[in-house]
Amino acid sequence: MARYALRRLASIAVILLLVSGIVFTAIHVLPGSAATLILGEYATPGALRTLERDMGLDRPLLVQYATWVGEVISGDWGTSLAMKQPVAAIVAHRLRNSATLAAAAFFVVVIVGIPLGTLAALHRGRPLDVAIVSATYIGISIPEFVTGLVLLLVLAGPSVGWFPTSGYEDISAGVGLWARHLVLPAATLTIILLAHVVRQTRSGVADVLAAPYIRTARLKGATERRVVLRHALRNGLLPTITVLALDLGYLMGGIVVVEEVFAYPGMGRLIIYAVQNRDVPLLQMCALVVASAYVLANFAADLVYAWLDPRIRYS
Amino acid sequence: MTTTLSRRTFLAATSAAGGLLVTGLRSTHALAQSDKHGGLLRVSVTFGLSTINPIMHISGAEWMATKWMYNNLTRLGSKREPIPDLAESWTASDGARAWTFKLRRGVKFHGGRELTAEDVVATFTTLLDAKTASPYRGEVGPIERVEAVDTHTVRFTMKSPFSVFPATVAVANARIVAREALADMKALASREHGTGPFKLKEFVPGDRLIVERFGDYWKKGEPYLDGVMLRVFPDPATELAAFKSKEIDLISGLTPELYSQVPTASGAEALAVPGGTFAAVTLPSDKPPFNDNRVREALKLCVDRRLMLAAIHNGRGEPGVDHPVSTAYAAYSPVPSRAPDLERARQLMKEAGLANGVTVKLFAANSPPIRERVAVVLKEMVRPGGFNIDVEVVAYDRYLAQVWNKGVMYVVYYATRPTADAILMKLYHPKEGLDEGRWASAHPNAIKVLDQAREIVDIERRRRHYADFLKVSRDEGPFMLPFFVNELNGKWGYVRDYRLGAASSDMILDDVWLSSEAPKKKG
Repeated sequence: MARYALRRLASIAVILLLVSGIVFTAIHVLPGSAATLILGEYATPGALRTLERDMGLDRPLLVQYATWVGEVISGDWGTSLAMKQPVAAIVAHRLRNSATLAAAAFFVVVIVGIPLGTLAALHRGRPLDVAIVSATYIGISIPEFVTGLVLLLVLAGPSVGWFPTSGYEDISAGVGLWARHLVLPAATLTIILLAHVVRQTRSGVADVLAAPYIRTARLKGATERRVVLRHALRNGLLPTITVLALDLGYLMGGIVVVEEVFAYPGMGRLIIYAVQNRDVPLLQMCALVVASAYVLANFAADLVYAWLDPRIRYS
Repeated sequence: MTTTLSRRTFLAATSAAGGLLVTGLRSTHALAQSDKHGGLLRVSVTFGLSTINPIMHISGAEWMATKWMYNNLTRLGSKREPIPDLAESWTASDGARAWTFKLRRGVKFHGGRELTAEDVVATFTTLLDAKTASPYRGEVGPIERVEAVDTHTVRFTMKSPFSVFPATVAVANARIVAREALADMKALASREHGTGPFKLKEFVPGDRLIVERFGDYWKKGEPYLDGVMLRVFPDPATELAAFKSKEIDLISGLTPELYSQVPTASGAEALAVPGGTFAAVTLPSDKPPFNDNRVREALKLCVDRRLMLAAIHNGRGEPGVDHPVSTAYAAYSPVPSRAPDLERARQLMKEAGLANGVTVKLFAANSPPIRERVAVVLKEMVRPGGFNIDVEVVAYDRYLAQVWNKGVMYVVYYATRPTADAILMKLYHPKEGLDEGRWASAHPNAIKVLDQAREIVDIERRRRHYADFLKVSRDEGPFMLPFFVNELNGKWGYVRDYRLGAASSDMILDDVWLSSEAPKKKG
């Protein structure tokens, strides 16, 4: 298990290097540079050259990339070309905001989605099952920006006004204030993700409930509670874990729309900003952070898999 | 002091009279007057906020923010005439070739040090240094030398006469920075060293900026507000929702669609003021088909400017006459417009040998959205005249790198400048500006008119002088400029004494205050 974990970690490092190479190449295929965007419609050829030299953008691409890799390995993430601030500090701040939002949504998805899915499996074909499945499907069928705006206009509008429309507050400003800012964006994400988890749990648990060993468990007199929780759920959840791991990746990068709608300063908005401003060091780190979250979540899912199902042992 | 009776003084006078009649009201009125201090004003924008370095920033939101933290030598009045800011007075000599500014005494930087002429010299020296690569190097006039005459006197020597220099230095990039801070351009992007009414408290690039009252501001008793928060909303719908829920007190830079929704909230006010911002189409005049003025004229004759303004900006603006000087500028002079005339347009095309029409490509950047709208409406309007326009919408970054100022047909977009000189030079002049229509070399006399205007100090004479150029621009110029948009803001009634100017980004908050109806702030 330990050797397996180490091997996986090594391959993660390779994946991240590849990601950084691809992102670096992709951004240089686009026309213009950070200097073009800084000077905008005031640019003169002289000013462009000066700025590109100052930012080291006039060097050969390979040299730029190698320098960047070298600096990152030595722990220097560089300075944002557009904001002129250390990349590490900017990303840390935005990552914390996004992670908080993602964690809140993820937590709700897990504690609501798994019981709902199980409930649907136990009542398969009956009205409760139909109600749960169709409700979650409506949720996933509506795009985030619509769900977000509807929640915003209804619950944050002047007539109701339960929650703030947008923005974020630091937890130091008060736990209540901090939490109130999280509710609507987290709810939007939850509504989208719930369908994945409910569907997957429902079919996983339903399959298991039909298996002979469940019948055996029932025949030997186990209580229904024990049958569901100990026998069915533990085995039926395996595919759900994979879905959750993939959803975590979606949450890290795909909350772009939700962050835009709620003017929430997180990774999604930062990535858009970095691309629009050709801010290579900033974009590189954003890409690495999102990629790391993705691969690490999948890695964690594999470990949980192995723990839940003793038959699986990676070698 | 002005003695004309404005709407505002009339209202103040009538309300005061009403107060005298109803004695109960009088005491409330007096209380409100004496208690202007306090409160946080929350302002929203939808565009970028990356840096607060005044020497480098190019977005309206950034200009707005640095206006609160810094001062210029001058600022602009309601007619865009220069009025004192850090400079108390100024004089021209040597035929507007030299300008001497007397600085106000006792002005403190936020760091505690007193402002001297050396700070002004250092700011302009840095701004003009090629190594700084400031986007505005060419926008502060033909400065040759700047020197301190004594601790509170600065003299600028120009390469050539420059009559509008006092208004020009009100431009957003000429904020006066403490000289010791100028060595580190990187730090200036996120820290401020100004003399303005507010000092920086928090800055999260791309998201928000918070400033707080500077107790030692040189205007005694001002500012009234305890602080200002500027928030960026990527989505205008959310911005409006936040405004309606009173999480935002003042929306700057409204779209015309949102503008019409502001008054639907009771107690909210929609403000509109004529500005100088426009989107225009370049007609590259150095190659076919637009090197023939008949073709340029034919295209201009196809455009119904009022209809276009109504379709694109809900009619909030003023029709243009194919030149960039709107009524907002001090040097504005009226030039008769031409009615759309399709018959004449077709006739001109025939004379130009294009009876069968011509196909041209028009580029429009996707930001701001008005560029694309102008391109699409133009395409339809000029089709009957024989123009087959192929519109290509490109991302703003690609536009900058591959389209802008490359001598092709595209939609330019410029915000209000301090002076008519600034925008005219930028658009037409081959050396002081960009000659974006590739027109200058064939029209040296027109360009000479622009140069000569810089020598004329008297505003009336300058107006008459510009009128000649504006007529040439209308009849032969390389731009189809359909209209100027109004500056649109929305605010709650409890935000008092806010005056929207011809440029929203010139947001002066020194004497703005919040009345007692302002909501208690949640955060």
